[in-house]
Amino acid sequence: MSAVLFHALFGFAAGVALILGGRFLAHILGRGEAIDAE
Amino acid sequence: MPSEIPPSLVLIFGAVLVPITRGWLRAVVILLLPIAAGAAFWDLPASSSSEMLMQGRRLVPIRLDLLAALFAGTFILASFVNGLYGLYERRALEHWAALSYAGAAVGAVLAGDLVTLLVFWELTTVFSVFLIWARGSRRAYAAGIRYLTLQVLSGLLLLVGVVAHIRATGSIAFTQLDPDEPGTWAILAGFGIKAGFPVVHAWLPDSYPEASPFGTIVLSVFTTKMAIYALARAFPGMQELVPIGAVMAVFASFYAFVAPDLRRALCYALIGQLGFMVAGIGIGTPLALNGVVAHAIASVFYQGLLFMGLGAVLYRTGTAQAAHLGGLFRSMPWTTVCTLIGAASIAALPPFSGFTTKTMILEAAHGYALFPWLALIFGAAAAVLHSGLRVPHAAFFGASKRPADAKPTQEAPWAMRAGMAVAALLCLAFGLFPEALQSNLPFRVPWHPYEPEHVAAELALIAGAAFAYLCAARLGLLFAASRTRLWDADRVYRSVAPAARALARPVQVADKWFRSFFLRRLERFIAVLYRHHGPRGVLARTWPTGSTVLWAVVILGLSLLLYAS
Repeated sequence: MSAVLFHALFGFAAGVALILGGRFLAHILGRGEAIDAE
Repeated sequence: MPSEIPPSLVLIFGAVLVPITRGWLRAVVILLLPIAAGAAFWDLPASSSSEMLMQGRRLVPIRLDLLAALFAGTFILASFVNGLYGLYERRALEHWAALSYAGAAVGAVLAGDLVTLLVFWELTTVFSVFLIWARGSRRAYAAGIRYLTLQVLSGLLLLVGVVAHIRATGSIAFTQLDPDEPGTWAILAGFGIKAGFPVVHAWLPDSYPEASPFGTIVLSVFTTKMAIYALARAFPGMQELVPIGAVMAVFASFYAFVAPDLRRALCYALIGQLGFMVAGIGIGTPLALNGVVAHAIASVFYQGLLFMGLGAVLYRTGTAQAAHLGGLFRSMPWTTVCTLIGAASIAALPPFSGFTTKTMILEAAHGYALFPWLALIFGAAAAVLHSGLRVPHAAFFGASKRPADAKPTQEAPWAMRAGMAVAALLCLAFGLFPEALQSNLPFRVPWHPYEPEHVAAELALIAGAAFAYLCAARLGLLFAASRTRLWDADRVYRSVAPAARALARPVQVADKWFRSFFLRRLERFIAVLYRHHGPRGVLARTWPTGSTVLWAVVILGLSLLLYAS
């Protein structure tokens, strides 16, 4: 039971980290070439 | 000389038939060649090891143990599925390159010595770059050049390592390598470039999305899995690979989640999956190595299926940008369902293929060390978000973000649908019947993925990650697709090229001046020679016999004087 709870909480925490980290990454690294140039 | 027909040569030489056939006959060739290669592969004696002597060295062009056979068989099956999907593509160049590239990859994984491996390693580079260039755009050409540069660097490192290894040990056998022997680290670096190690990974998301829908699928199958095979063969249990794989699984997830181009997002997802395999090789236990092989095989088809789905979207809409898609499930239901199966597989949702294979590596990591295990389950949770939810959500669901004047979208052509269906069935088969694959893995290790605790833990991880995604969507925190491409390590060498050009400018000017200076003088000298020796020159005239005699007497007299003195 504790393993299941750990996985559920870890999955949620990882999701939050990915979403917030992704926004930060896009903010600092999203200055590449315009995609519309394709 | 080996008496067997190498399946690699069946594909490489058979591919020559593609450009010289047309219409249905070409389609037959494209589908029959992988079948013929499969028959040649099936015909190879079990545990065969063909040998040839070349300059006193024992070449082993075909070594068929379980590890090699699993990868070679997967490559041949994948080349059939890819060929079926690619029948919509009329250009012969892409089909020729795809079949030859598959043949080279099969040759590489069957190679029993380092020299044969090096030859096929380089051939994969040569054939695969045509898949990028075949798109015909300027961007594709530039991306192909950058791809070629990194792949040639990989080949050069392998060459240096192989030469150093042979000089030190006298052996060319491709077996487990000792890190203390000369050349081993160069070989590892050569493998690492193709396996997408951090920092040298950028060639993959830089080049693959520039190929056509068909080209990207073919590219996603062979190069990286060939490198995983080579790492599993040469460096099982090498501890340094564990942190490398863990870093790949984590950093690539962030890029995969925010990349505006969904095919580029899948390239980062591919690097994340390779991270699982690299870490598994480093862990090196029988369960981990079984997991690596099984996950490599499963990922060929689920990753290919995801690329196929987005390839169909690109083919029908002209874009794979998240900002320009959405709502396609109404017009492309078949593509939507198949892509969802690929998404469920990469997210390791039971009973799809990723669940039965990825959990094997996670279980091995659990018994190895805490931090690599945490990194890998982070990567597993992230795969739920970036490929399991975001890619299908952005492409097929939600409101359409296509321009109002865009043409109505149609379902993918029949060939694409057939290819996707076969890949989807394989994803389901690997998930529903894991024993079929596990009974053929290199090590006899009991593994029961459908034990309740494994299923419950995996479902809890997926549910937690999915809940985070839903909360973020509800709160409007999901990343709004950027209008620009994210910076990555390729920026370094992409900015080095203009800098190198700027540095070369003075050299170019000096070179031009020197060349014009010396060429002017050389031209004048030639003109003088021509004036005297040309057809109207003084020395070319017909002289009377008398004057010739006179000159002969003068020369003889001078000789006499010189000798006398």
